[in-house]
This record gives sequence, C-alpha cells and structure tokens, in this order.
Amino acid sequence: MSQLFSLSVSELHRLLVRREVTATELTQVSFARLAETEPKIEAFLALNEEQAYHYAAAIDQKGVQKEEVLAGIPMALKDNMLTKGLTTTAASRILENFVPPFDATLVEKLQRAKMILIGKTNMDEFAMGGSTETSYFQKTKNAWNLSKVPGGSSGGSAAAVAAGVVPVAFGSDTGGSIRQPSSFNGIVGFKPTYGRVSRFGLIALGSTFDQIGPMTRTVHDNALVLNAIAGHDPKDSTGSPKKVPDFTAKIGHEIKGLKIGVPKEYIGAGVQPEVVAAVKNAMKIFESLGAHVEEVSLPHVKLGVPIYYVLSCAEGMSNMQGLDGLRYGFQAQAETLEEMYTQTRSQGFGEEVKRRVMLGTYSLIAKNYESYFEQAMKIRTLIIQEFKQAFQTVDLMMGPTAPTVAYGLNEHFTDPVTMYMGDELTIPLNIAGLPGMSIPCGFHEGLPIGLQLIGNYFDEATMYQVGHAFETATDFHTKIAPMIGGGSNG
Amino acid sequence: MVKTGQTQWVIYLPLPTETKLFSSAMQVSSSENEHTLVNQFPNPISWGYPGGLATVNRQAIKFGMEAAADFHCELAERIRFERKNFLDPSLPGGYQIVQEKFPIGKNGEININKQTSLTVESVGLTTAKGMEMTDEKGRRRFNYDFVGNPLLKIVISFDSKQAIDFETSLKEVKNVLKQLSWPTDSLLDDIHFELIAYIDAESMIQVEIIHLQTEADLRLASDFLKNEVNLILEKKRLLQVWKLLVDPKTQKRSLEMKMDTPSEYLILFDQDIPDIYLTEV
Repeated sequence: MSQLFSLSVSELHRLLVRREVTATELTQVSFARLAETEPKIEAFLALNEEQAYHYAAAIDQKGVQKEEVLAGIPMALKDNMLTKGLTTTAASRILENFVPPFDATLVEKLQRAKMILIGKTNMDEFAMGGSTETSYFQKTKNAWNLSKVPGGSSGGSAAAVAAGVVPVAFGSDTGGSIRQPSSFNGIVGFKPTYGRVSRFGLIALGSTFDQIGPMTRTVHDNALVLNAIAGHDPKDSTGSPKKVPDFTAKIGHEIKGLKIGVPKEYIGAGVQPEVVAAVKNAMKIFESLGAHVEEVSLPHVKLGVPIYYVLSCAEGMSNMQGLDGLRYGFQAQAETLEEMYTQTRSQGFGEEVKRRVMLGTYSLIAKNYESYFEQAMKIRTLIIQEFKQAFQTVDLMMGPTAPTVAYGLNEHFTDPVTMYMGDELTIPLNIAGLPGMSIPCGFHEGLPIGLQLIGNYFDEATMYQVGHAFETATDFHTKIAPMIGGGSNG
Repeated sequence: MVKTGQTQWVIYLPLPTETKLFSSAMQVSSSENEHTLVNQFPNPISWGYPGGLATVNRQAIKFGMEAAADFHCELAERIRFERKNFLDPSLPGGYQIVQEKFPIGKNGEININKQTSLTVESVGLTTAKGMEMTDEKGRRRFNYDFVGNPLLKIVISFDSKQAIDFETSLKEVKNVLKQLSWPTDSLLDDIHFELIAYIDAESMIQVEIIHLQTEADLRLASDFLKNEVNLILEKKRLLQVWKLLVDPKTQKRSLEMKMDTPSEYLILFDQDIPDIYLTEV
C-alpha cells in the first residue's frame, strides 16, 4: 500500500474495480502522505478528513464499476472553488472563515464522478501572483526543492500532486496559473478552451480569462478528468454549448503528419538557455515521431503581459468590489460605515491585491479608459486574429511553459514586474481563450522544465494525443520528486 | 452620451417577472417585505457572494423590447449589460448591472400634447439596489431583499432651460406604460424617478436627484435643480447627488445631499454576460 501514492488514476482504478484496494485505503494513503509532506511543503489550507472517509466508505459499500473511472480517487481543490460547508478563502484574510452556501458546478460534477475531496489547497491571494507567496496564510514550497517556489497561483495544487498526496488536483488559470506551477513541479497541467468548463462557483479574478482545469501526473489521467468536468452549465452564460467529445479518444494514435508550429517569439530572449534546449529536444522527438515541426510567428504576443494587466486588473477590480466586510468574511472594527469599508479592505487585502485593484481602477477612470482599456481590447483582438491565422497552417503549437525553472522563495516577491514577466508565455493563451497544456520535458539543476502545447479552440483531444505521444517517447513524467523518494534528475 | 445643457428625466418601473433580472431567485415585491422583517430572502447571486454568476432573465428583455417599441424607439440588434462599479452599502456586489452604451431601444419620443413631444433617449434594463433604512435607534440598516429585481429604465431628455409640465408629461408616460401587454397598474405605484442635469460635458459636472415618486416631487426637484445648477457653476463642485426624504408621519418632503456618492462611476462591460442579439430572444 505504501507505493499507491505514485500510481496513476488509471492504475488505481483497475485496482479499485478488482477490489485489490478500497477507496478507504486510498483515502488513508492520501492523509498519510499529507501528514508526512505537509510540514515541509504546506500545500493545504483546509482538510476534509471526516467527510472524505464518509464518502470512501459509501463507495466501498457499493464497489467501483468499470465505467466509474474516477470513483474512489482522492483529489484536492484550489481554495477558490466553492465547497458548501467547507471553508473557501481564496487565500485571503478578507475571506478567512468564509463558508460558502453552495457548491461550484465543478464540485457537483466531481461528486457525481464519486471522487473523494481530501482538502483545499493554498494559492496566491485571489489567484493574483505566480509563486503562491501572496497567500495570506502560508508559503507553499516546491516538492523538488524546498527552497524554491511551487509557482502559482495554483501552487498548492501542483505541490500536492508532485508530493504524492493526491493523483489529481484542480487549479484555475487566468494567466498561466495551472500551467506554470505544473511546469515548476514536473506534472501535467491543462487549461481547457475558455468556456469548456463551468466557472460557476469559482471565485473570479479576470472573468474573461479564468478557466478551471485538471493537474495530474500523466496526460491520460488528465484527459479522463477533463471528460468528467467539461460541458455546458446553464448557470454560466459564458460557457460553450459545444458537444463534449471523449478527450481520451485520440490517445495512442500516432502523430505522423501532424503539423506543429513553434512561435519564434517563444524561444527568444528572456528564456533560460536550458529551457530552450529542452524545448528544442522536444521538437526533435516530435520530428522523430513523424510530425512536421515548423516556425510560426505571433508578433503581438510580446504585448501580452501589459495588456493582460490592464484588462485583468480592471475585471479583477470589479470582482473585488463586493468584498466589503458587510455580509460575510473579515470585518474590521470601526466607528462609521465608511471607516469600516476602508479598514476592512485595507487590512483584509494583501499588497498584490491592492496593487491590482488600483491598476484596474486607474484604467477604468473616464479620462484613461480610451488610452488604456480600449487600446488593450484592440490588441487583444489582434492577438486572437494572429493565433487564428497561425492555426490555418498548423494543427497545434509548442514552446516553453515558463521562461525559467522554479526560482527561490522570496527571490522575486518584492519585484512584481519580474514576477509578471514569468507568465509571458502562458498569458497569450488566456487572452485568446485557447487551450494549453504543460507536460514535463526535462530538468535543470534537479528542477523540472515544462513543455507547453497550445491547441486550437476546442481541440483538446489533439493536444492529449500529442502529449501522450511525447510521454510514450520519454520518461520525464516518471521521475519522482526527491522528497517523496525520487533520486536526482539533474 | 452626455450633452451639455441637457436634463435627463430617468424613469424606473419594476417589471413583473417571477425571478430576478440575473438569477433564478424569486423576485421579492414590497408587499412581501414588511420593513420590520428584512433580509428574509437571501440569494447568493443577488447578494454578491463570491463565485456567483449572472444569467439573464429573457422575459425581462422581452418586456423591455415591448416598452421600447411603444416609446417609438429604434430597437437595437445587439444589447450589452455593464457593471456600474461603486461602493455603496445598499449594493452588495459592489456594482449595479445597467445598460449605458447598448440599451434595448434608442431615439424614441413621447407626445405630451399636440405641440410638445419629448425625446426618449433610451429604454433599457437595470437592477434594483437594496433599500437603506433607519432603525428605531437611528442606526443605518440595509434591506437586500429587493436587490437584483428587474427595473425598466426610460431616459427622457430635454433642454435644461425648457419648462416642463411634469404633471401632463407623467400622465402621458403612464398612459404609454398602461398600454403594454403586461399588467402595470400596481407597478405604477412603485415607479420612481431621477432628474440629472448635465452642466459641463468636459468636467462632467452634474446634479442628480434621486428617489422621486410623484408629480409634486418632480416639480420640487426641478425647481431645486435649476438653483443648484447655478450654485455649482459658481463653485465648480463635482458630482452632486441629492436624495428626496419623506417624513412618514407628515409626508413632508425635503432634499438632502447624499454623502457617500463617488466622484465617478467606473463602468465596465459585465464579463459574465455575453452580448445578446435581440433576434435570438
């Protein structure tokens, strides 16, 4: 039982169906791993232990059927996904002790799939950050090197998977918050096409950018999980009514003849040489598998970071407006209502949230609206057009997920611009609403490097096909973080 | 579009939909909500809880389309909802969902008499705010049960110097509303108004008087507005919002400055509600 934590979802499912292992035992393994690793990595903000064992017992009583591919599998949720009766804080003081009155649609779907919620994971406050250091509560560490950040904002979810606590965790991705921590932790992280997964019950950051996605150890596991959570939700008007295909359908099919574009802007200045080398190695592997790899150009993606911060901060400012301490969450003591507002928001929000609320306010003031917000919207349209044009000649694109491997704790914490630039390769996909996946493709000084696959709209199945082909040809995804028994991977 | 020297007479009429404008929660009417028993209908979306998403009540849009046609407006092909962001304790989400740039109808008119007609600048939808109250100890209290109720918003504009016969004008507006296919007699009791004078387009100086309910209120506010405009022109004060207060015992009316009004509203398209093509409604 001690090695169960390193198995994939598919392997665990086979054992559950054959009754060689029970859901209760898997839950025990998760909590045992958590007890061992949590003092070091601090990935969780809340645990669901009593409920988890209760659900597991119910599953064991009925047994797991072959078609119930996720039943009895432990999982963790980023703490910005609403769970009825269990605290959801978005790692902010202003929502400390906030217990939601309803479940997110994602949570309802996972309950129907009979997955077992182990706990809620740490994140950057309101998902504003790229290192999980802006959390009000704690700083999560990278499972591969405890002196490094796990990335962010879904750093807790990524670290929980990398540390073997759960085989599946969920993140949200507004500018790279699933893919970048997945890259830093050597796991598979998927941001679906905007509209593919319901946002109902996700605490919003930038509502036209946000998307929920799975974080797993393998590509196949990831596709299985997306099958369970994708689909139209009448509670989310921005969701797509498109029919959801079986995302595992193309897995195992050869990729011979597929055209893979490499945007030249993705392997240029600012990207660590070792990361470029790993991506170039991946290009060779794809060519050896019969794919055609060719250069493409997306000239406006270099403007992605500045326009993202204009637009997402404006949206974020609006989404933070209701957090005033009046009805729920933290409330500062004050003599007057106006003073209570000021003190609640001053004490309840961290520095990064305040910075972004101010940036968002600035760009929406009438005299600035045209020169900032409207200009940014125009460039957003240009970037979307460039991606659409590129996808007329290629089937998918590839490049690094992040310009560097995981950096040190506190290394960029006081330098927001450097932190923002860390998302320069992931942000363009959120601007365009495209799907993106990070898969492990190498190591530098013992730290994982992520390869980013960029898919066409609603063509997630081809991404899983190509990602799985890469896994089959390499062994990067089989490496295990040293803290859970892996050796050196440098 | 703000026009210097124009006054807007904004009319708000509750719509008789079963549910709120942006959630499936039942609409709460004033008859269901005694002032002594407030906040009895909590709803996470209207109350601005994190994670809630707005979804549009299509029946409200249909009502709006009918009203726009009756005020002889040009019907829009595409409409949009926007967030008017401002911190206000009676507004739990921190913003009101409104239609500013892309309302349901534009450029209509209403004939007041044979000689006079007024321009109906727009007909659109907006959400109701909560109600501010004062308890027996004089403390401010907020009733959120009405938050998110759908309101029809009719914007009539005229030259600020023009003398308006509000009594006749209001009667004509009500006549048009009474001809709509949905029952409005009881709703007309809940109609309320704002008067907004735009004095200087560049510096956006305006005077806004809210919570008016009768022809007498409108006359009172109109006279007050003209005086206040002169005062503002001299002092160059920014946005002024005045609120009509009614003494429940004497029914005496007075205007007081609303202190917690922001100097500017931040308008942003509602990210949770895609543009709607009226042919699809």
